[in-house]
Amino acid sequence: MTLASTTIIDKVETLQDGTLQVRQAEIITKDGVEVTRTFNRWVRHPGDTEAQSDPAPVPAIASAVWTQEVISAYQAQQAQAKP
Amino acid sequence: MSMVIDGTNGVTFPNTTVQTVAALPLTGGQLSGNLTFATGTNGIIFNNSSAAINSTLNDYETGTWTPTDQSGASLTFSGIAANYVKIGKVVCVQAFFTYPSTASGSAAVIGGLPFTNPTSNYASGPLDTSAAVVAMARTQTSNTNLDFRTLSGNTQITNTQLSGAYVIFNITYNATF
Repeated sequence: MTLASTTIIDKVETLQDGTLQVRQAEIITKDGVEVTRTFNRWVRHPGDTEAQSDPAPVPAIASAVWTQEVISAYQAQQAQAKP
Repeated sequence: MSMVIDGTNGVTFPNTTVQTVAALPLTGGQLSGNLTFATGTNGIIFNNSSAAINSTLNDYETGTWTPTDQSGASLTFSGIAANYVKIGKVVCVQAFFTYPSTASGSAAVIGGLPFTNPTSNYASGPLDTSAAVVAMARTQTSNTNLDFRTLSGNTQITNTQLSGAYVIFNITYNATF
């Protein structure tokens, strides 16, 4: 019997404002057959420098989606007054 | 199109193929396999009077998330245990962790929520803490942060007030989808 663990980015959701919702899956296999899959999540907003340190394909998606226009629009939205 | 079950046609799947109930993997009258929908937008439609897009249950997921300090003080939390459950667009997050000893007077801000909080959407929940404060946790809008505020008066709790204290909170908020 062989148990193995693999960690992958199995889902990246791109929201309308350019935000990336990242899901990382840890997959446990037994003799090559998946037995469990657990998730860990985080979010990267337009302009977040941490995205470039994330596992692939997050940096590539961030670079493609986050144009200066997208980043500026997000920052302007964040700057609006909130209660 | 989502799966549709009716008394005439049996079960209809996204590719529009109509199958009889007998074609499903049934064991002892119970489904013995998983129902997997073709794309993330498919789901179970509840036939009430509202629009189908608002009556479709299309997501369920559980996992973990990592609370991080977003106050600008570069604090490192310890003993983190943080989980989430997402049902449809409703996200329930739970977290337990401990603040380091700090003299930072900045407002306490926690980042790392597993799904971004939409614009103009606020949610709050009680804060259980060993610090001498009576406060609630509240999400910020259009990001993945939350902060701690007094129950009345809308005064933000500072890092100093939480120095060395544990915090526990549970918030339910709506994701974008």
